[in-house]
Amino acid sequence: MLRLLVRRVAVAAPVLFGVTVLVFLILHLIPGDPAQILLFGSRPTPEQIDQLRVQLGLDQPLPLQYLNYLGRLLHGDLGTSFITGRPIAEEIAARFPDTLQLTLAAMFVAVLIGVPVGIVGGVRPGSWADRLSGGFSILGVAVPYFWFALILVLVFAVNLHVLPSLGEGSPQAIVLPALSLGWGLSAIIARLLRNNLVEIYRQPYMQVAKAKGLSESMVLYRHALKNALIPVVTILGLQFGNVLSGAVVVEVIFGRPGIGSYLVQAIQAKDIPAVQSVVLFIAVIYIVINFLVDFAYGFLDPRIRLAWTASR
Amino acid sequence: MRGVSFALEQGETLAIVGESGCGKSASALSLTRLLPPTARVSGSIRFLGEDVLGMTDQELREIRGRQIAMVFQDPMSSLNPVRTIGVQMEEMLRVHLNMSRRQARARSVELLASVGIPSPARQMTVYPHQLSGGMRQRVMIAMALSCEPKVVVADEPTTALDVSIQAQILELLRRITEVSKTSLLMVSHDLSVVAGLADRIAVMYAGEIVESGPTTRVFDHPRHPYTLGLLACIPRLDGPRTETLRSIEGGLPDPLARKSGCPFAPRCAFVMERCLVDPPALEEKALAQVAACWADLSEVTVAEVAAPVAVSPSAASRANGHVLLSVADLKVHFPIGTAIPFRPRPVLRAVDGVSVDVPRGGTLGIVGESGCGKTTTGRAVLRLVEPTSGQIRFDGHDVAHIGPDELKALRPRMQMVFQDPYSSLNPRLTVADAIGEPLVVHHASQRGALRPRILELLEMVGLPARLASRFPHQLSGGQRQRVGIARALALRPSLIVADEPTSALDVSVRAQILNLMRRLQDEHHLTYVFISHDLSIVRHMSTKVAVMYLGKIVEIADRDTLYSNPQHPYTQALLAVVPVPDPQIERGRRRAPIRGDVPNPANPPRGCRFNTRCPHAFDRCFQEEPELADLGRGHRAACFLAKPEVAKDQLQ
Repeated sequence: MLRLLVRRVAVAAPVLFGVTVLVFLILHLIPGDPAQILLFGSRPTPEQIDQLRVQLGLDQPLPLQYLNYLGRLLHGDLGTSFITGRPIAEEIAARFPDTLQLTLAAMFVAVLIGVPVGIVGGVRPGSWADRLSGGFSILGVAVPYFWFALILVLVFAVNLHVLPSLGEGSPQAIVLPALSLGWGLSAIIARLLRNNLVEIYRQPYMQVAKAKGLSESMVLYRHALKNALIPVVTILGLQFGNVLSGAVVVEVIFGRPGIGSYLVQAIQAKDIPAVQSVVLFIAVIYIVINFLVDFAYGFLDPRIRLAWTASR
Repeated sequence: MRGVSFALEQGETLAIVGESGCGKSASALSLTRLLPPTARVSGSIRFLGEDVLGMTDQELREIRGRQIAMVFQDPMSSLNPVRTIGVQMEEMLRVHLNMSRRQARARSVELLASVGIPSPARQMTVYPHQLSGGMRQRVMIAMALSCEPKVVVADEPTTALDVSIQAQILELLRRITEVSKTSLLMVSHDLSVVAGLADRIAVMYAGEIVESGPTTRVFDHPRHPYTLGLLACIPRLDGPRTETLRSIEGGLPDPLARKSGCPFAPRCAFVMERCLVDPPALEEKALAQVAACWADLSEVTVAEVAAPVAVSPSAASRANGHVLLSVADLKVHFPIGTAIPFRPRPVLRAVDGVSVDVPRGGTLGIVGESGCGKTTTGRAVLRLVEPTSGQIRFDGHDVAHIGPDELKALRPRMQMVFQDPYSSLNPRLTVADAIGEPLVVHHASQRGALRPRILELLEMVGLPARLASRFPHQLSGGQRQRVGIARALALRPSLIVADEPTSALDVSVRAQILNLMRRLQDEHHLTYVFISHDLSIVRHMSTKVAVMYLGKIVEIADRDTLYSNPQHPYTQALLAVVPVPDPQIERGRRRAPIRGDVPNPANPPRGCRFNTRCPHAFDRCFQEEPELADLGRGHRAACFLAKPEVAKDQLQ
């Protein structure tokens, strides 16, 4: 197990390195002189610009700038916001719990809707329930979540007055954002689970389970579901990053605080260090989640788990 | 299935025998209504007087597993891969017998022990993929027996297993039916397998039972031409070898296109006018023996029918002394696991030092069980896998070391026929394209000459020209294998490596393909390397036979020498476990002579590789690996106990 950990870290490290390079280069890929862009609007004198360049370390050669950047990162220093002057790490730390909450709530909604819909379709393929579940999946993938969010607001907040349209302030405020964000994923889960189940029901061991005299629900829960959920777990992990980035937009739509709205503010205010750090932060989360998914896989599938132990 | 009726008495073993698509599995599944919901079932199924077709789901579940338990064909996929053996064993006991977890566990351990699983308590915690095929099938049987059912239905329980393991499982089933008063319904395509087990046999063809009766009667005096044909077309190890096998001509009928009259009529040797219009019903032909046939077969015997038609000059007699293919110390190793720096990568020694000569015009048979390296040897000879070391000389060329251009130039002369005609033909190429492809690739045919050559090849392998534009899925298994052979022949090769060319085919079609291969060998002076797990087929086809075990040849000799005087205990054991279609012989069998499983080829035992399973192993066998010693007259065996041929001659 430890060995697997080492191996996965060895894979993750170069990815992480690549991400830091890309994020670092954001600053330099923007056309024009960063210092000039930053001071745009205030009619800076050349001295002021030079002073800022020295302050930002922009007068040094690029590789050295990168090394300095990396050094700061390793010390946990994500830089200081141009706008607020506060450390960005603090800004992110203050806002991330909200985003995480929304993301997790959306994933929860996705599982809550996707798994039952998938089961209903997968147990009796070709039935009307299966067709309904298939229709749901197509809708879920086809309808963009930001549009769906607006529809939700229109129906539940504007017309029915049962839920708030603003994404903060009360416990039920998270319902609409989570629903609009999780809905697309629930469609993916439903479709995947349904197809897996159909495939698994064709396996000889399912016939064996039936021949043993197990009830239909036992056949489903004891023999089909675990196998069918393995790929779903992967998808959940892989989609975590997508949901997180979707949260950026949903936060803006519902006026929720979080790194999403922070990122949008930072972009609008040209707060480049903040943009860099948020992007880097999301990338790191992505990598960490993938890492965890691999482990979850082994937990679910003994063939993989035992292969790990065997290779030790 | 059309109007199938049979009865199974308490303690009785009934075997349903037939080829693919004849409805034998459907018969077995319908007993507890396990057929897919799309199946329309009519008629009646009575179990202990109760109507199974009228039962509610709840009532059905109480019968399934509890009263009628099943063992399925493929033990690899019949166990849930993500649940431990223990969980899968226990659940039936808990559901049907209301046992507590503890009781169920204790009982499961007992059951596993009773089917001969070593250290059963430990095996409860493992997952299916950690067990061998034979062990998994034992688990399936233990599971089926767990609630002491009245009936066990076994659907091809040994088909996916090696012969030595098959013998163990058959012995286990026999013991179970003897000890308990369980009724056994056994479904098989292989008459030999059921010969020793069944009290009665029902033979199915095209969805109908065409003959049924007591086992000895059906074997000794079959009254339906199909049964007769099946028995006659099996090459038998216990009888004299014939040059040509009797075969049942034609193929299985398409179940979707039913014609009037007897469904077997188009393939029947005894066909009469009446058969084509009037379907025969089952009628009593002898005491307790019924058959659906208009012809009277009471005077016909299997031996008569199996007798050779015309003895053609055998390939063996023409095999001159010139060696066409010579393999010396061939090794093929595959890396396994992950590479760790500064440590040698673990390797699987699939082929570990094989040396053999094949004379021009002869047939080298390679036999062995799964994992013995026979397929890899065959592929390495053609350089379809890269040999790790060793020499392969083919007609003066050093196949193992030539460059790609030279190899390509040599390819037309060495071809391969694959095991599975279903997956070795590209589904998107027509028959003509598949056969023509090698000709095009090697520019072996003029533009205008391609088509005539394809038609010529089709005729050679006995396929009508109209099949040229068909796709593989439109052909039967036998036809596909003929296409595979035509493709191999297209470039006029001198060597053909045939890897289990008939193991995916039905018994009645198998003989046709074997006969075809023999005829083509004579007509085109071909040299064969014939790879098979089936010793009786290898005996039929080969002039020289090599027995492989865990990557090495353990015994090699001329066919007649090897089969009449096997010296290696593995060869002896293999010969002893091959089932023969004779109830007397099968019932008289002692216990299976090879115990246990084939060891992991990645980690073969020290000393003699066979020492873990050998009944004669002694101290030396565990320390030292025996050489493939020359016993005289070309007979070599890797065993310390092997006796020289010469000494035997002097004795005589």
